[in-house]
Amino acid sequence: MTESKAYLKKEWLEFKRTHRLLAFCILFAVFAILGPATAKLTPLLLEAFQADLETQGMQLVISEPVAMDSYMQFFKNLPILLIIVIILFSGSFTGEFTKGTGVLMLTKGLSKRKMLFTKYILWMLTTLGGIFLYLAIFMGYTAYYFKLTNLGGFFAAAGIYLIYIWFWLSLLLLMSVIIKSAGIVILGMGAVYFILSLIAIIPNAEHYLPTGLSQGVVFVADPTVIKDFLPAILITCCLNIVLIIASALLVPRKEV
Amino acid sequence: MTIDMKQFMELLPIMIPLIAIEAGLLLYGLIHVLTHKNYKCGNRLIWVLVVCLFSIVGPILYIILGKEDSASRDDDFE
Amino acid sequence: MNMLEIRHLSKRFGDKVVLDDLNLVVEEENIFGFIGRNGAGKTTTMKIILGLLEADSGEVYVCGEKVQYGSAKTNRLIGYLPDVPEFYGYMNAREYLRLCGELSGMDKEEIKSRSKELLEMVGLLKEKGKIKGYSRGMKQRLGIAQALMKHPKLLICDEPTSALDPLGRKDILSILSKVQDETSVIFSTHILSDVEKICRNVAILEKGNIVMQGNVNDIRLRHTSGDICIVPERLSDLDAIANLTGGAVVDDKVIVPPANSGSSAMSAVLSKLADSGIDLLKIEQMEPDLDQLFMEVIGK
Repeated sequence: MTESKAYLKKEWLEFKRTHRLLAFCILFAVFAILGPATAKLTPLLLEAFQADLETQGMQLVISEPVAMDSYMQFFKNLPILLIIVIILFSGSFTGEFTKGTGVLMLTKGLSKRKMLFTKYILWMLTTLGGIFLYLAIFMGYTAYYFKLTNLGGFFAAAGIYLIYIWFWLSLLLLMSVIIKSAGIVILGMGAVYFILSLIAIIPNAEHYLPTGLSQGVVFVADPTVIKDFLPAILITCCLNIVLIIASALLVPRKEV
Repeated sequence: MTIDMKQFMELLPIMIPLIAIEAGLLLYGLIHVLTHKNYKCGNRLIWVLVVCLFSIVGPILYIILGKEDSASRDDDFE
Repeated sequence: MNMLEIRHLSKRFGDKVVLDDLNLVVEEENIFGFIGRNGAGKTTTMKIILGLLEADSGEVYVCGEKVQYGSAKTNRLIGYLPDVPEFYGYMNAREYLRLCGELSGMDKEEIKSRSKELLEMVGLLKEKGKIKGYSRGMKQRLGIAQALMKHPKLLICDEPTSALDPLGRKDILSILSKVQDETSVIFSTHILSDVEKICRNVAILEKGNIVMQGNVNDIRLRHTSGDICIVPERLSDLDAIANLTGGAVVDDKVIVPPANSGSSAMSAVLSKLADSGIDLLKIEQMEPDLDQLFMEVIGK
């Protein structure tokens, strides 16, 4: 316990001093502002083209933007943030071994397992913190510009998206254990995403896949759809636990 | 595109923080690139282009990947 | 008590046998030199002692406790300095030592006083900058400080001087000899002059096995009794001396090999020369140096 606490302190210091905290705050905040801004500005931009298009004989119906447009932007920007988070953490564990900084920690009595899971906790907490910042700024602007509707659906969809993010962080955990370098960790994550997308071609397969959880705005519009995705939620949670256990079992064999 | 005064005032609260963050990062990044000689990777020209051309993301990339906080010492003994 | 005991240790990487039934006992002592060529298996042995690498067979005991691969239990007794220590560049020396202290469960006050003491000893007390700006020599010195943080019984240094220039090497050696009062030190090297300077006992590792172990001076004396070198005052006497002693003329001196002079080499030569009336400038028993001995032992 003392080792984990000391190591967590080090991880937090690293998060701050390598400017990852700054990057997190700015990126999550900027994307949070961009969501409602895009929702608000799109009709104005379309209006500008309206005259042009009408001379070409096309009809353009511009509706007043609503909260739903903003929600759509919320879920559209989340994958970008997730990719950034994964890239920022991809070298976190592997780097301790490729750079050789981890050896000194191990010889101080910190086990590889504690090292790995302390990092995992930091990844989860900082990502969660970032998401909360994102949510808070987003909700502030959305409430300012639009009349908030479908709030229940929105929070349900956001909650389901958190499970999706948790899946990728757990996958990052296992990838960090079985792969030596950060670059290949990212490639491995990409490969998993590619395979999941291939399987998703099968009709209704997404009801059972982790990627099914990233529907986002679909859930907001019609929360009753969520029950079709219950298997996906269950399977993803189980997968996460499998990933965690597999990492815990494999990490002592990690080559120094 | 025409934006009337009312719309402009309406958009102000969302544009100000965005522009402030963007301008702040751009200025900080540019000044840092131009006042430092050594980077973790890349050279001055590349970083000036990255910082100026990619708004917000460019300066952050520079801060994480390019910025060298303290001058690296040569391999001598004090 | 034995600080370190290695029994029948074997390790192979693929087809390559790195350690082959290695046996080694290191008693509580000052500085123990672990000599071997590059690739002889020094680093592998050290990593197994630290539980960082799994042995194929054999056991390692540190202070009587068995080392288990993957478990860090015995590591609380050991301080380790890798050949090229890597630190978190964004910390300064004090922060790094604090992290090390906290990891080993030391309390705040203890960490503070111990850090100060160690940084003073390695000459980094006034260094305020981040570690990323450190030179190799400074990193090596910080490496010693971090290894000693928790008062280990045994300090293991892997080639601490190899990557350094002569000045840096001198610093490290003098720090190591200062340290020996509080802890036993095992250090591996292929630089024999370093061993001669600070080690009392040595073991020579070759092809995964200990080929020789013992006190540096004993080994030196036992192994080669050494040549005798005679320098006459006048060069014209060289041949006469060579004839008398059975030596050979080399440049402006006569070298008498140990085989010809027997056990009481020096006195025999002296008595032969005593009545000859030849004036000598110098007569000297040449000490075999460790390099020569090393070559002999590994059969080169």
